[in-house]
Amino acid sequence: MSLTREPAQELQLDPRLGDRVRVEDLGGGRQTMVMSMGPQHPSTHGVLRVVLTLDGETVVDAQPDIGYLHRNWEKIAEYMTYAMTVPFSDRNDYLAAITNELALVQAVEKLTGIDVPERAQILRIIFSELQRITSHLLWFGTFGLDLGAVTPFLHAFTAREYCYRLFEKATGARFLYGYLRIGGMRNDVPDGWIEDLLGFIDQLEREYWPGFMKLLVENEIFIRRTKGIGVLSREDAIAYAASGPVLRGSGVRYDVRKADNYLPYDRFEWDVPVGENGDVYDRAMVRMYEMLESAKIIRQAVKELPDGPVMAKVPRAIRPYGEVYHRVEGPRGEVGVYLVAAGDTNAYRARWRSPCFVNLQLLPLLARGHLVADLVAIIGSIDIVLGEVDR
Amino acid sequence: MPEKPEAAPQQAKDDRPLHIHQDDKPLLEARPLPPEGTFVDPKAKKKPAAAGGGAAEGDAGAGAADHPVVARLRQRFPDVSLEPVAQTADGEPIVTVPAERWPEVARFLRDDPELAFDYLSDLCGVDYKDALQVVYHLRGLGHDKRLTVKVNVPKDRPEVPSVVEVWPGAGWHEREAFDMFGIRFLGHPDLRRILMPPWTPDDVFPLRKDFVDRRPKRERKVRPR
Repeated sequence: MSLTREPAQELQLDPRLGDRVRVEDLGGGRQTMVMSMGPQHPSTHGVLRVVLTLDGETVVDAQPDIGYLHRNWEKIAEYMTYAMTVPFSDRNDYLAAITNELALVQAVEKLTGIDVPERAQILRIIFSELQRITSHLLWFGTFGLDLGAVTPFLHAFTAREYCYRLFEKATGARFLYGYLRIGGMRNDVPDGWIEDLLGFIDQLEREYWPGFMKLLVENEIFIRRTKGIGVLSREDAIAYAASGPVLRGSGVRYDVRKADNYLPYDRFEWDVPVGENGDVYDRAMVRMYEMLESAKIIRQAVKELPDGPVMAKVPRAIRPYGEVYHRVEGPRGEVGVYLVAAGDTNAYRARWRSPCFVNLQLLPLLARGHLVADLVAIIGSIDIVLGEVDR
Repeated sequence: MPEKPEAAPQQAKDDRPLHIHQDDKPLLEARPLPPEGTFVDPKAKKKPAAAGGGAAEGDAGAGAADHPVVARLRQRFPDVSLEPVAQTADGEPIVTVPAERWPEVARFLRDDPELAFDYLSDLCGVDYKDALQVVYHLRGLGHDKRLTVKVNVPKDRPEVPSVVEVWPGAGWHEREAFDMFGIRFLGHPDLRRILMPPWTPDDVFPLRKDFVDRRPKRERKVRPR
């Protein structure tokens, strides 16, 4: 049945739908249907509601409706001391807890002028790159699910489980670590952990990653579902301040790790993978190759890991003055923390710049003119975590 | 057999109505706008004077006043007051621009080939005792210059020109600042609440320091043992 050609009054909607679905007559036999996708839709990766305006099965407009997970991190952070805020920042982007902690911890270190020991800095690099691999592995699995491929999900979770075992060995937790401290790390990595890590990197490069490419990314159905879908131009990506793989998929070679060098990344040889067309396929490929680059960084960082303490001397109560905006490159893009400190143990104002929040803004732009099934692929390619969108 | 839970004990002694949260006073205290442009340690300020006054690093404005980005802005807009000029803990210059001149300054910051701040990294509001403040963190993709711009607005008429036309990415940030602080961005195409639920009362702005949580107190159910 084509909705576009029949007059409005002939369309019989199920009365149980209530006002959740609305039909708007545009005149001339054309109608659009307004309906919501989510907030409990499996392809929205959490509780995201998208208000769709459809013409037949074509998306005319897609407006994201967010806030279902809102708990106001920024207000709660004003009530807590700086050290107490660190574990709570884990919960923002719960798939990349280390980079969240890193952003906050480094912002406080800049405010107070604490110098972090070199071993802790290199360990921070190792952990944030391992976190990036873990997060991209999860993205790979769920992106396959979005496109209807169930098997890659199972393979991706096998590899991800390996990562989480490594995290658990070093930090004691699998998901939300509280591992970074203002001034360093909570504890050093246990004996033999580095060997385990290298074992994982070996297996990722030799077995998992080529397998993923063969299983999904080189699959013709995958390529047809993703090429030319959701094209984001280079100009729009910059103007909308997209970041992370969404920005780089559009051909902008920009990475906060290179631009700000907030950890000694410049000691290592690695590339920033970029796409060409800015479609779903390019964003996917950027994430796939970022896994390899992260593995490359970890290999070099392990070689340069010096001995020494992992924690600097930190005063018991931190009462800094001034303000700072610090940003790091998380797996989803630029995680920014803006702190205004007025001499208290608590921040006067704490602000979380979440990459998913900014990237999700692009959804109406990307989805216009595509089918609903492609919308699912587009949402998957932005790689949102609703815990961070809503904060 | 399901037993009926006992009702919550009535607060007979407290004559406040039940629907007001017990902490019906704000717990946080707003501070006045720092005249230096950012909060400065009062103890650290005395140090350079004792050392002889040559190095004025303790004064937050001294290092940033002759920063090339600020100098370029002063050269182009001699009639716009950028005071107070300050700098962040990691040396990023902070300028304060009057709200009525902000759109043209913003356009210049983006389009000037020397500055080229084409990437609005972040936009947020801050609540002070005497004013609300909008803070813009600007970056550029081809260079490593940084700039923080602050725009102060009075609390009784919190209106700022929107920069959506300059940096389209500001759209959701401005909606969030409206949602959390009640700052109205003039010229914004779709200024609605974004994170708070749509039925939030019109005068409730959670991130303001005088915010009072007036949600109904959750009824305590005493489970029968």
